Order: sequence, then C-alpha cells, then structure tokens
Amino acid sequence: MVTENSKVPDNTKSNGANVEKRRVSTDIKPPVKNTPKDRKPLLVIKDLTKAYDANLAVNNVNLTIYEGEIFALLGSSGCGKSTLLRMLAGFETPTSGAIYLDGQDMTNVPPYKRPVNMMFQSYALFPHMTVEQNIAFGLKQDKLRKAEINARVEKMLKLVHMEEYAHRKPHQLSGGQRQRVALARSLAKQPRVLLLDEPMGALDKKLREQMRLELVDIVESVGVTCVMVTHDQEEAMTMAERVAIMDRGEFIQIGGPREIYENPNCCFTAEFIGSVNLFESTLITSDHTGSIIRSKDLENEIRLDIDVDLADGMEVFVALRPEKIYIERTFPVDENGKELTANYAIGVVENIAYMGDISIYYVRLKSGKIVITTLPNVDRFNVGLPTWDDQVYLSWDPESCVTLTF
Amino acid sequence: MAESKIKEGVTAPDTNELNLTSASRKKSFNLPKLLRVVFLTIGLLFLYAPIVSLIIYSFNGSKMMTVWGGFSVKWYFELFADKQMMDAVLTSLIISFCAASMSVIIGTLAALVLVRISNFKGESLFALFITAPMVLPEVIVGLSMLLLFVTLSQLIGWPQRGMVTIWIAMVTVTAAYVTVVVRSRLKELDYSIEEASQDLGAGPVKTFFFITLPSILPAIVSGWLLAFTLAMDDLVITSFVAGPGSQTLPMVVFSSVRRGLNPEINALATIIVFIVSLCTFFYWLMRVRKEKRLRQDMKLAMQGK
Repeated sequence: MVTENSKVPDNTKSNGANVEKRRVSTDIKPPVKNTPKDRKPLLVIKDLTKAYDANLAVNNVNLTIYEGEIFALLGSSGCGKSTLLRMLAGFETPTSGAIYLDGQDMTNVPPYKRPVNMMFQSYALFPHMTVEQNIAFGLKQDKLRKAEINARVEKMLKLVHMEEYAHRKPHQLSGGQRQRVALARSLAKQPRVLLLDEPMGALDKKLREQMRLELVDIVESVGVTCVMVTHDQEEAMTMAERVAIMDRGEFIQIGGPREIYENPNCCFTAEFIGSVNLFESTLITSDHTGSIIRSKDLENEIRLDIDVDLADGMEVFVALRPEKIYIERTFPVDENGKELTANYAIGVVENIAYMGDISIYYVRLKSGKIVITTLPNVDRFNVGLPTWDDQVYLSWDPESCVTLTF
Repeated sequence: MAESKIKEGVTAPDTNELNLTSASRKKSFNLPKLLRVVFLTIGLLFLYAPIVSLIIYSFNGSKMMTVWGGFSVKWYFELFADKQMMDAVLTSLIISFCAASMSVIIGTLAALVLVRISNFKGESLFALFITAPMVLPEVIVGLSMLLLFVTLSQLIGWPQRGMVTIWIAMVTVTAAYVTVVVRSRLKELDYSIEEASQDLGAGPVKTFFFITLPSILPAIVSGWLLAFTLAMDDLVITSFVAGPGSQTLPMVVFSSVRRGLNPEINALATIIVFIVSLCTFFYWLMRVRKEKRLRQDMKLAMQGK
C-alpha cells in the first residue's frame, strides 16, 4: 500500500505532462491508401442488384477485389452485406448485374460449380461426420484419389492445429475448435475466393480477439483471397486490408481501415466507425492560406490550415474524433506558449464514463452541445484530471478536423 | 468447490429459518404425498393388472378362462399349430412392413415439400390435406376407401380387395404421421449444412442423400416404427377394405374373441407384450447411454480437451 501511495504524482505536474505528450506537431503524412493497384483484379462485381419484391437488398453495387486481399463488408444488420456474400457464393441469384471471377461470368453458375468456398456463421459442420470426414467431403466431390485426399486432409489439419482431433465429431469440440475445422474444410479445396460469414459471430469476446489474428495468419499463409462479412467494426478493421461500409444495399465508402477512420467521406461513415463529434457549421472563407468555419455550437471559429475547396457560405459538418480533443483545466496554448484564438471551446464536465483503459468525458458547452472526449488512464489514481462539474477547455489541432458536406 | 463453500457461508445465518420452513412444509405435504402414492398405484393397477392377469392365464392348463387348471404351456403349442392364426400374423407383418416403408417415402417427400420449398403458396392447405387422415374418423376413411376401390375395380378391374387394398389404405393413414414427425425434424435442421454441402461441390441430389438424409434419419426411423405399429393393429379401416383371403391378425383375434374367449389369444398377447417390452427396454437403454455419452463429450469439449 505504501509504495502505491508514494507513486501518486503531484497534481500540476501530471496534468502538464499529459498535455505535452498529447500535443503533436503539424508534421503529418498523407493517409496511406491501401488500394492494392499493382495486384491483379480477381473478383469483379458489376451493377449487381438483388430485389426482394419491392425491397432492394443490394442496390447497383460495383466492386473489384484484388488477388490475395482480405476484404470486409461492414454494416449493420439488414444492410445487404449477407445477401451480397450469398450472391458471391451462388446461394442467391442476382436480379440484375454480373459477377466475374478471373474474367469468367459466374452470375448464374450454381454454388457447387463455383471455385469459391464459404465458412458459415454457424460453421455448418456435418454433425454425422468426423472432423476428418468433414474436411474430406469437398475433396471427395472432386473425385480425387484417396491418397491425395488423405494427404490434403492431413495438411489442412496441421494448418489449423487440429491433428489430434481428426476422429472427433463436431459435438465433441469447443466453439473455437469448430471454427478451425470449418476454416480447414473451406480451405481444403483451395478455392479462388474464401468467403467468411460473420467469422467470429459464434465465439465469446476473449476467444474472438485471439482468433482474429490467428485466422488472418492462416488465410495469409495460404494466400487465398478473402471476402468477409461482419457487423463488428473492430473485426473488420483488424482483419481486413480494405473495408466497404454498406448501408441500405449500397456502398457508402470503401478504403483501408485507417482511411475510413481518419478520412470518412460522409457523416454516416464517421458516426458508424468509432464515435465522433459532429458540428453543424458554415464555411466562412476558404483559400490557399486556410479555411475558416463557424459552427453554431461553438463560440470560437474553427480554423484549418488547408483549403477545403468548397464554395464559401456552404453548410458543412466538422467531424472531430474524441481522442483528438485535448481536455485541460487551464487555457489552451499552442507550441509557442501563445493562447489559442480559435479551435477551442469552454465547457463543463457533465459525465465521466470510466472504461478501465480510458475514461470518456461528456462535456457540455455553453450552447448546450455535448462533446465527447477521451483521456487514457495513464495514472492509476487520476489525480489532477478534470472531474464532475469542472470547467474545462477543449482544444484540437487544425488537422484533426474533417470537413464533410453530407 | 470453492464457490459452493462460499455460497454455504453466505447462506449459513439463514439455515435455521430455512430448516424450519422446510420441516413445516414436509409435514403439510405428508397427506398429499400419501394420496399421490395411492393414486399412482390405482392408475398403474388399472393399466397393468389386465395385462398381468392375461399373461398369467396364458399359462392356464384349463380351457375355462375363469378356472385355474394348473401351469401349462400347451396354448403356446396350439397357437403355433393354428394355421389361420399364423397366416394372419404373416399377413399383418407383410402389410405393416410394406405400408410403413411406403409411407416413409411419401411422408418424407411431403415433409420436404412443406419445409424446403420457400414461398410455396398452398403450403398450409397442403399441410392440412396431408394430415387430415390423422383426425378423420377411421370409419369414414375406411368407408370412403371401400367405395373408391369398389368403383375402381368396376371401372378398370383393379384393385381386387385383398392385401393390396389394405396396404394402400394403411399408407394413406400412416403417411400423415410420418409427415408430421419428419417435418418437425426438418424444421429444426440447420439449413446451412445443406448449403455447405453444395458449396463444397455436391449437387442437390448428392446433398440430399449424403447430408439431409443422415440428419433426418432418426425421425424417419421413428416415423417408420410408428407407421408399422399403427398398421399392425388397425382393425376398423382394414375390415372395410379387406377381401375374403386376407385376414390380418387384429381381424382374426377380434372374430375369435367374438366366438368366445380363447386361451390361445392369451398366449399370443403374452408373446406380443414380451416382444414390445423387450424392444422398448433396449430402446430406452440405448437412449440413456447415448445421452450420457453426449453429455460427457460436451463436457470434455467445453474443457477444451
């Protein structure tokens, strides 16, 4: 107890150090675009539409997936991501449009003739077959020789570390083991594209985090192109090279995890991925020296160093991620020690949500707007950090703001 | 263990109170408990006393049903020597076997149509029609069948009343039961395993025989057994559609009982009771063992072994 107490740092010092560490210089790199342009296009989806009566589950979707990439379709339930995946597998027939694999039209090919395999959300292991028979099932359909089938099954079991369980039935396996078997079964036929339907949906949280990386490792070691469907943004961001955000049957944004998080192209993406503060604003001026934006929620201007390239007087939204807002009890200053004249706000801490690793602060501004901001709990006792009903200063770097038009 | 100990510790102060309430509850439950035992005994006696007395009297040496004439197994020998009875047993077995097999095929197909064909417009109407024989009075089914067969044989000379007509009549009734059993199993079957099979390269026909059929096999087997039992002891419909040369076991038993009680029937009934209880016992044993194994397997799987 004594040693713990002695570690409590002095108030002012911790606060100052904290802020200093967080303030970054303006030396930013342009966001890395993850589009693998040098790779060969493998799966091409053209004007694909699926209608159920009057409902458009998938609405005129165009997409190119490159060889060897892991691509995630991310969206809330009912956004059409599963329908799209099922059309790729052949379980649903598109109303219009086409799917090309390796340049060949796959649109009306039945599922059992497509070089595409799927790992189902429920894993769909055959309950009356052993692990070995499950993996061999697809190979038997190809009329391979017995020795070759055995060799391939053994290789697959080794790949997913399930050699000892070859003679078990599915009900004798735990959730994680079943997933490995399902993965091995869908990889056994060496498909051109591997489809994953909510791959972690049936696992508990701890196992999910562990299996994410393992699954990516296995998929990458095999080198198969992979399209996955998920509603879990963390899963999409950690596993996929590119993520497509879907809503109401359409793609909202396609890009690498960093791109969609740091450069959302609309309010929907910004709000869907992580949390965000959106300020309804008007663009005052914008030229090569920078832009000035005024929000009705903020007393001070938002000043950006870049030209947002929009008409003056336009209604815009400024998106600001919570972790990019500094929260201080003293008036914010820039690198040179001069007090800020823009890009700050004054508010009162209304609520604090302690999450363990971080704390989320809900700060009410004078305009009534609640701004969300986070602080990492670097210190175990949170001494010196703002608490309930404290007056605080919120500030941000100009480059943290993203200007959106819709 | 640790957890249970903690729980004990927590509830320890309350144990006195708990004991009191449970003790008083025991007292107040004594009378109903006695009543329960009495009612259970009466119920079981009502069900099984006639069967037990039947078994006992099958070993009666006297021809009189009401007089005990010493232990004897002569009625068993007489039963096996009775050609009419033995023929009836054989006829019944053949008809039941064929009827059960046919109704399993028809019933499974009907269940597949009902469950698997999505947006099938007349689904509920079809379901009603296929299960109607279950609720229709047997007299009506039998009579309508008889009328149909008579008209048909007048028109095209087929079928002559006999084993074939009994078989057809039995299939119409028992197929309904098979449909219900298989349909409920198909409904709870994970459709994605069939999709997985297609995804792995097996066509629809192969998928049905290698994936769907093994999964619904338990339901098909119980449907078959149900159909067999129903066909085996049907009397009403069979009497309507049977011809002169086709006497099933229930018909023979019924007509011989009408002529007066016959100890031979007791011997036959004893054999049937024996076979049925043997089958039931082994079925029960198998189930218990399977369930135990399943539980153990699941426990092991949960522990990650």
